[in-house]
Amino acid sequence: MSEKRSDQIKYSILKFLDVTGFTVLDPVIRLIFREETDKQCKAIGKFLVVPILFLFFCLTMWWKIAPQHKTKSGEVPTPDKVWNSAKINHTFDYRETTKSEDFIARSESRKEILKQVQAQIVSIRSEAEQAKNQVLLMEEKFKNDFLPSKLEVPNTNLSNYLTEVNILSNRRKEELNVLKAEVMNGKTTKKEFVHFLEEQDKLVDQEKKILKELRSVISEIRSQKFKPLEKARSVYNNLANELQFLKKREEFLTKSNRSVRVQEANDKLQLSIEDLELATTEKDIYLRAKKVIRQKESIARLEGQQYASAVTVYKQIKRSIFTVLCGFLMAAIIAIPLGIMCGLNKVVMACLTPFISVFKPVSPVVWLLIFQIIVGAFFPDPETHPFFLFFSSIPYIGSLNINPALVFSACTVAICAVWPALVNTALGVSSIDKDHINVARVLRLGFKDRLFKIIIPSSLPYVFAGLRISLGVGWMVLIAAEALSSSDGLGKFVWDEYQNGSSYSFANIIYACFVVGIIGFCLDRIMIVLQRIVSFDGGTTSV
Amino acid sequence: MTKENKIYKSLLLEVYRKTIQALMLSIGFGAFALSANAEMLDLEKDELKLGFIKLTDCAPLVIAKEKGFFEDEGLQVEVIAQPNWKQLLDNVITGELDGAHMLSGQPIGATIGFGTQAHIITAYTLDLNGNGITVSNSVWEQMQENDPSLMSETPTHPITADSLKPVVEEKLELGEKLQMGMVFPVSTHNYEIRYWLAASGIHPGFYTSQDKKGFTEAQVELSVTPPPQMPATLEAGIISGYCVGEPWNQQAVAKGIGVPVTTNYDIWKNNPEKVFGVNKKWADENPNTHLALIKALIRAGKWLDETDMDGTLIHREEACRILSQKNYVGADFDVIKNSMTGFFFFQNTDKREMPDFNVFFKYHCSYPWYSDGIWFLTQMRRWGQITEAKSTQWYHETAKKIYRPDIYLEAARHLLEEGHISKKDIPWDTDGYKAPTNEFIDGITFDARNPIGYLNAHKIGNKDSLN
Amino acid sequence: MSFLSLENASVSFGAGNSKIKILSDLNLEVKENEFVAIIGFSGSGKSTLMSLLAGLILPNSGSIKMKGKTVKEPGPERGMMFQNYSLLPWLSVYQNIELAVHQVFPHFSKIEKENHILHYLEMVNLLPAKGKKPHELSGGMKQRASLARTLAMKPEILLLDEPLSALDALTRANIQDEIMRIWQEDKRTVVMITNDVDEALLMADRIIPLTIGPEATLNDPFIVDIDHPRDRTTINANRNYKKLKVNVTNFLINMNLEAKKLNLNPHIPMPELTPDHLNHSRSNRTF
Ligand SMILES: Nc1ncnc2c1ncn2[C@@H]1O[C@H](COP(=O)(O)OP(=O)(O)OP(=O)(O)O)[C@@H](O)[C@H]1O
Ligand SMILES: [Mg+2]
Repeated sequence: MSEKRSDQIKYSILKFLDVTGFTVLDPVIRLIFREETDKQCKAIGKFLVVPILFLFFCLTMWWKIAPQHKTKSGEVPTPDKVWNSAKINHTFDYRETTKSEDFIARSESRKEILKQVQAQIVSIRSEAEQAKNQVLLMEEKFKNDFLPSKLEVPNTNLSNYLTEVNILSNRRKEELNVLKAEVMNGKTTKKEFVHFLEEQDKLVDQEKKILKELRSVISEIRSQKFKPLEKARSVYNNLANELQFLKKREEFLTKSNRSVRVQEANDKLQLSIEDLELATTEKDIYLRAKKVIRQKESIARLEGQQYASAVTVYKQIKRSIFTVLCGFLMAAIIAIPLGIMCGLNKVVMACLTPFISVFKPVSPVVWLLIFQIIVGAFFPDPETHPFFLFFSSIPYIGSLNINPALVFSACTVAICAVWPALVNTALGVSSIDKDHINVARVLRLGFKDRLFKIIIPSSLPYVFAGLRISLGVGWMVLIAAEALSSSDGLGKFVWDEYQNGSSYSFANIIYACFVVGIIGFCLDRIMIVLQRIVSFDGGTTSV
Repeated sequence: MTKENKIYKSLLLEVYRKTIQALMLSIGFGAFALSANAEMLDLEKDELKLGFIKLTDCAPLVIAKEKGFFEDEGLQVEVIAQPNWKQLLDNVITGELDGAHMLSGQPIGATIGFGTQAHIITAYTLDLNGNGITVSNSVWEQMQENDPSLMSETPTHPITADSLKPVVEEKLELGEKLQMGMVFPVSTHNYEIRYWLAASGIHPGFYTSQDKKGFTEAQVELSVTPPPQMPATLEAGIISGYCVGEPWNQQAVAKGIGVPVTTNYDIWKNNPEKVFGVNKKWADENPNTHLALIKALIRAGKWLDETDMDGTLIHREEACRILSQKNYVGADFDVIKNSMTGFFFFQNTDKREMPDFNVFFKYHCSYPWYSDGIWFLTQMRRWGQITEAKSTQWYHETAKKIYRPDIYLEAARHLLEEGHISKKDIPWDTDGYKAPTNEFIDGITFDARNPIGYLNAHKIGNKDSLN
Repeated sequence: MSFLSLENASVSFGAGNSKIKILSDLNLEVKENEFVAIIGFSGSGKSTLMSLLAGLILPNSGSIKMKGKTVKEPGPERGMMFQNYSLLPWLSVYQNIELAVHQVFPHFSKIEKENHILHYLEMVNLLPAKGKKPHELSGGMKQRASLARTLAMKPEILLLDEPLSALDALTRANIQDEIMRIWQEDKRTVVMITNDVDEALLMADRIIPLTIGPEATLNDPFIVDIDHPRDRTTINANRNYKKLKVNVTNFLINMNLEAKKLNLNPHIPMPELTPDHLNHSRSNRTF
């Protein structure tokens, strides 16, 4: 009996893996349930262990090769640096959310947290102090020991060569004078003189080249990084950043805290009210009453205030996903009906074919610019436009900052994603099995039934295959669109990092590359599952 | 209510107030206690979005947010990086942004209709100086060949474009034009690099009603590149030099791809650089919010330029740390630190002290001077961005339409009452015109009262008849 | 008046040069409540004939009439069971039948509908598989499902295209009985295609051979004058039955021989086959 149950569990897990396309894990599950252990071990070895080993091999290669390729923007980051940048981004997000929370913290918890923060500040301050000294020490060392020791040889080389060049050029000058005289009195022909000058020029060029090389050796050394100094700096920078963050927290828990400010404003309001009581003249009463009203208003405003936090990578991820889904939805809403019409009616197909063929290959960048202009015209005053007011009022979505940039990014995604879905739907509808149509004819199904009971179900696998391509295209397009239009999202994250040009920018870009890839992968997987659910032939979908 | 009763009550009130003040002081909120006396402005809007470009001179905006000056005014402000100056201006015009860190020429250009037309005003000048001209390594080597004195590890400054002239001419003989980058047609950088080139007799090109790129008669072609892309564009060899703000000159040194040859401090000592611009319509609709913003900015400027007894800037390091955050300028702390703390690397070996490289508050610089506006107008006319001759009257009127010291002074008055600034911080009695100065690289005197005379004093550039 | 009739109907496929006449000059009269079996070799055009009767294809010449009216389109009163089952793959067995029942009996209540469907599923022994999708069924199960669908429509005339070809002997016998019962009790008319002479003899009133195509036509029918109900255990002993079986079988063998002779006739154009074609078709088959 129990065996049967475990079998059931096993098969449901296997089915799940099958539907989600993670068939690689199949042998693992089977092994856990002790099914043909030898065979499973072999399968795991072949399809799991080997790929993982290969992954590790690639990682180590990356680790080894990356530092050897030096770019002007610094070394190619190694995996650990990328990992580090992921952590930094996480910390940044943590700090922003903490600050937002601190800002709205109320009296009891506020004091509690304040105590902790102040204690932390004390300890970190001393640490930072030490770290700073370490940096100074290392800077000294760099300047007084490291550089001189390394520069000694090249510097002497350079000065030796300079004196040599000096001697040579003096000698050449003398020779030149001699020759000039000889030309004048005809001892040397003019042709020979020209030849001599040419030779001299060549020599000078040669010397310049060598000089340049020697100098570049020196500047190379100067720009070399002194590891201990770098390390000391990064330690100190981390501590200093942390300290700054804590100080900001302290501020947010005290004078900038919302409840504190509301309290203060209330106290002031109290005073004004009492002032009002004391007022005697008509004018005074009016003015003071006005003041009370104003203060009440400002308190109401204060109470609703939220900390205007910076956009972190997680927010950008959320916004990107939201945008791509919006665009994708738009694409689906346009593509599926149109595709069905095309598939059903040759005339419609003929009408639409020119548009499809011409617009399909247009670059997303062009679409982006077009939509930027068009969308901009629709919302002359986005702040108060009902469309945006509506979206901002939706609880979760409102926090994503819906603005025209999002709208035209989504439109760009939609227009680029519409084609695969459209073409596939049309194909699906037009390649419907003749037998199925015959069934419909025998049953005398009406148009509506024929459409919804026969045509659409039978073309669903095609439609979803198209939608899957669309979503993939949309995701790729979105990142580019965001980068270009600087609509908040992962694309903007990448672009900002590129523009920042800090020592962590490159690592951040590679980090973003993984994030974009993994999200794209997840979206694709979701589509595969959907596709599997609607596909009726039980066949596998290509991964 | 009897008279005694009333007196008694007001006395009580006084005591009450005092205790609150004392209480606040005892908790250590000195600053706040002071402002507690003052009226909170009646804000029309308290959640704002301000735009900036990733340059260190956006510092007052960032500092006002991070040091809580905006919050002190009851404002919650998002400070959002913009991809380029055009989009920044567009976003201010459409209302997506409430205000922004702008090039001095942007409010002027927009108001007179060069580029996008919109009435933009400014009541706050963000900073002085802060730009540099960087040339690529190969151009630098050629300049060194032309002028051996530049071979030294620490050549004397100012370096003029004289040694660049042969390089330009050599190129011209080959039928090519030297390409250089600047950040925007109406940017300070455009006028500065033109000034620098023209001062050495290199023609940087005219704008005409047909030629919106400013290539007419050019010996050096200047094209627009967004600041953060300058180093990459230089490295790719698309341009051989550029004029840009920090940290993009120091970045070139740090990456070893170019050599800064001069700063705009040498081109025009203490020249105005960026302003805080808002849409006129927005300012009219939100006068108190605007005032609150300017108040916070003045405090941020003052904070940035605060010095100790010896005259060292005490807050700059903290400012750099804030600016190096990825949502602000995002460059490495050590790179930003160079110029912001008063040092400038001309080459790896040539680190100089430049205490006035970034001025945010000193010299009454945050006041929106009419004369600054007029200088930009003369440059726009000089290079043909203003296509026809204008009267002296027009220069003054236009400057007054854009620069709004009235708002600035109003904000300053509030701050003075609240005790955040002292009387000497603000030029209360000026008429908005700085005294004539000849501290330019070519020594020509600029008197804002006589813009056309100034225009005509230059060898290269449009000249108008006085009338 | 005959119930269903073909008059000089012919059907061609293709156009222009590649036009082939599959059926030519068909004449057929099916009386009400008659059971007609059609036999013929594979590829001769039996299914095409069925489609013609169902109204799925229209004759190129001649006409087809049901109850005196020309047939212009298919309809549920002529319930067609397709040779390749034509089950909708996205629907379960139950849903496939439900689709038909819902369409034919829109007035059924929910329970009536369910009972109706379950009844036919039980008849073809598919109750345990009612929730399965077609791709999860064996060939025989699909055939039964398809049959159930056709029967559930309760058509006036059943057009069954080899309805039992994929079944084992026992199931086959059971379903034969069911069909016979329905035919008799409900007074239906049946046209059934079969390749099994025994089956035809057991079930049909008339057996009509279709000659070998192209240009196949219907030959004279064999009348099966054995009284219903027929018992398959005792029918073997029936003299009539034996005689008919020999006759029909001989007829088929002769037809086959004639066809072979015809094929040897040099006047008949041969398709041009090159090794390339052969390879092609072979490779197609392997994949
Ligand atoms: N749609 C079509 N287009 C062209 N030719 C067709 C078409 N349908 C059938 N044919 C041809 O008509 C002929 C008869 O086909 P049909 O399916 O009626 O044969 P069948 O007698 O049912 O054979 P089987 O016993 O194998 O089912 C075949 O030669 C076939 O190639
Ligand atoms: Mg057939």
